[in-house]
Amino acid sequence: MIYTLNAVTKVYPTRGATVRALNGVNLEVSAGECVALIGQSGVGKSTLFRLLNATQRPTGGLLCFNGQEVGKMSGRELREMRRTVGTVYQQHYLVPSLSVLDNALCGRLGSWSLLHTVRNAMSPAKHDVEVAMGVLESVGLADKRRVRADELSGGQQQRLAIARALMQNPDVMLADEPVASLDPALAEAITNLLVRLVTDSKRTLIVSLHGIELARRHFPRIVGLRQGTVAFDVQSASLNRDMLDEVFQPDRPQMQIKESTQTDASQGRKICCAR
Amino acid sequence: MQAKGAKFAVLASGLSVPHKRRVFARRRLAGASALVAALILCWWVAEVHPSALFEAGAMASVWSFLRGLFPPDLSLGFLRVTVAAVGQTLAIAVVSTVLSIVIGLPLGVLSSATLWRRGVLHEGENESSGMHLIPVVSRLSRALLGFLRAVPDLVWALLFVVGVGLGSLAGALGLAIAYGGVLGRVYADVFDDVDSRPVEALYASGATRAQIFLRAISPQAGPRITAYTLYSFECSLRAASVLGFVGAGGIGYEINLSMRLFDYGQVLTLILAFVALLSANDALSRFLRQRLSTGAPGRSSVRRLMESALSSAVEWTPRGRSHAVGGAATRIMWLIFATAIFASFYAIGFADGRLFDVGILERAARFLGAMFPPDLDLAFLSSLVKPFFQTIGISVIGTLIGIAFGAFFAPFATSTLVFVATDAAGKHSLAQRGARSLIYYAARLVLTLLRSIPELVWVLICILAVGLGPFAGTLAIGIHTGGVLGKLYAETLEEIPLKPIEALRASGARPLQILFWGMWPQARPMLTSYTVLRWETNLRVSTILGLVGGGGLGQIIYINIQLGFYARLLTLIAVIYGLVLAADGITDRLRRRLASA
Repeated sequence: MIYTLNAVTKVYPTRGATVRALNGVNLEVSAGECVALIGQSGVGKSTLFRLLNATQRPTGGLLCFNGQEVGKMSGRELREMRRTVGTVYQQHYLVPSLSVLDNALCGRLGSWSLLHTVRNAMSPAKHDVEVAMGVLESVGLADKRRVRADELSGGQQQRLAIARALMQNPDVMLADEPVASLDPALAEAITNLLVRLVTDSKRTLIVSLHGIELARRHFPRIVGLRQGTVAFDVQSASLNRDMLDEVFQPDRPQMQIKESTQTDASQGRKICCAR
Repeated sequence: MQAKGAKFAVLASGLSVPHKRRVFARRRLAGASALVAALILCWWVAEVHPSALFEAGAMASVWSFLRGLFPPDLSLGFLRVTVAAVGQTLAIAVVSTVLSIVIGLPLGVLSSATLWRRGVLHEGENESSGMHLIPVVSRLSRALLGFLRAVPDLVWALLFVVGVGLGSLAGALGLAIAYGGVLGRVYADVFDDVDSRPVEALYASGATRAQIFLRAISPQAGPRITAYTLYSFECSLRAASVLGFVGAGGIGYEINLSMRLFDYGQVLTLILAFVALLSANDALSRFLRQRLSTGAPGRSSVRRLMESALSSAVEWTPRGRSHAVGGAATRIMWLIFATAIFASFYAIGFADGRLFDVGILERAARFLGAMFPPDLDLAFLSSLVKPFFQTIGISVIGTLIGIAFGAFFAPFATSTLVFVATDAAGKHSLAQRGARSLIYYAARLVLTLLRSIPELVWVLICILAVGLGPFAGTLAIGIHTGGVLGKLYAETLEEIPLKPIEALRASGARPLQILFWGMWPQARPMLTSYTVLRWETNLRVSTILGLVGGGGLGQIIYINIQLGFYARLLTLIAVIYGLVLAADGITDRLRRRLASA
């Protein structure tokens, strides 16, 4: 098992109320799997990704990576785990003022020494440039290597973000809504690219998506999230209407559950009365 | 629906509304009378007596000063003195800026909250990672920066004069400490301000803090850091021009000397030379800043500046440029840059080993030792009460005078107002347009003059008119602030959106009506914000006016240094630190209140 999650919770402390983003998630993902996560905005998908790439800590429950408990890792082990997990974000999170090549090279920071980083910041080593150009080639950006990242189009930026994650040579690829801000044709192309790049090299892929059709077409396993828990976890062939209804119930507020004070609720009622 | 809700709320609170309004009105009245009382107190403690300005003697001495200015002394001997003084001022500014970067950058990195205290880089760490001490160190570093910043630059220079001896070395070190504090704080803020999403992405890929700083934070922060450092150089240049008043070298020494020898022609030469230096620097830094936003990706901003300075004549195209030429040109620029810095360090006296001389180090150590413990004798403390409030009074009344001057001149220096409707063809005759241009450029010239002569020089001039004391300091601050605020007001008025003004103009409004109905409502938040910020600056300045006879705490500092009471000096520094800290808090709250009101 690459990931084992047992009753994982994540609570964000905010003023007046605590926001429970994840509420007991149980999930197992084995090496080489391709999993799609679906669910409405605010059900905790992004939070889940931040736990899976160890940029945040779970509040409760057990999260294991390759059989090792994440909560007991040392700083060095955490960094090593982050290096083996590549993450692609919805808004790609590129460094705007760096060139395409430099952004791709950023993916290798985890395996460089500080001295090598400084040297490469001034002028990149030949070997590193070759690796980066190979990866940029595979996402179709080789000819743009000198362009500033913020001068790329949305689809190109997303491909660059994928290239940066690939530069890590990761065992696991995580992609949080990688196509949410792209048009349907581009979304299809990017999803295709991700799946192809990952399955070619037998990596594990976990992607969160809005489009159910996209998920069903490309991913053998689909996990539905609702209110911070796993609502269903099925083969995509057996996905049915009821399951989708459960996850995408339109009439129920599905934003984060707020454990707020009671006055909040009663005030809400008062406003209703006033209407 | 919302309106109904609001109505409901009003009904629910029912009868209490008139009562509340009454309480509010009463509170307002109390606030207004407290304000008036405070202003009267300020007026009284700053010993403002406008009648002194109109006494025959005052007028006569101002007149003889003005007449003495002309003609400026352009004899070869004095020109040589002037050039040397300007060169020394420039060298002090260069050295102090380089050193302030050396001080500010490490402290700024250490003070950054993103790197050491909160945010994305911390949420994923386990407790065992052994980083408990670093947030404390980071906070301490921030507090240290606050302290370096709060003590006025001239006081730092004075401390070094006592510590390492008279001359430009002391001045450069003093400015380095003061501006190191400013730069460190600004750097930390810029680092904390960058888009945190790339930071998170690199963190998620296993990069260390140092790597994240190098590849995600500094590329984003680079342009702003460089721009602010350029601005800081300009500030150092201004400050370096008055260091001579406390015996720390530069052109101020010559100005002070010529003033005291009544050689006003020399004063004019020196001031003209200094204004020329300032405008040259202004033009250069504006040019560099404009270039900063363009350039090849991934280059450090300084390097980009170097290259752009060279390629000024041709349009900047990063990809169309041959690499070899760019490399050679950049190298030459770096060489010039490095030579200038080296020459400055040499000129200031870093090469003659004075800084590492045992005698001087011993003297500095003795000076430091003599400051501890601070003098907390009750008699001394109570003697500080009056100068303390005098300092506040000078800054408040001075700022008010500055507001009056600035507000009077600003409309004439606002191109959108002065040249109103000249775009409508045939509306104005050539003569009319000429008259308007004359008004506009005259107003600009006056504001530039008021602003580019440093406060301390204004103090000396005002002393001629009204004699030693806080009133001279108040007038000096008022005149200088008038120039600064007038320019800021005019720029603010010019920058506000033009659509509503065009609508007013189309309906036949005259300039004054446009000013009050079109511009004032839009510009008000910015104007008040600038004014409040300027008051804070003036408070710092008014703590040092006394060094040249302008009243306030500076006078006590001067006396105690002369007498060698260094323990009292430490107390005074602590008082100034507290005062500036309090002013910081007040202006923060004021600006937030005024922005929302």
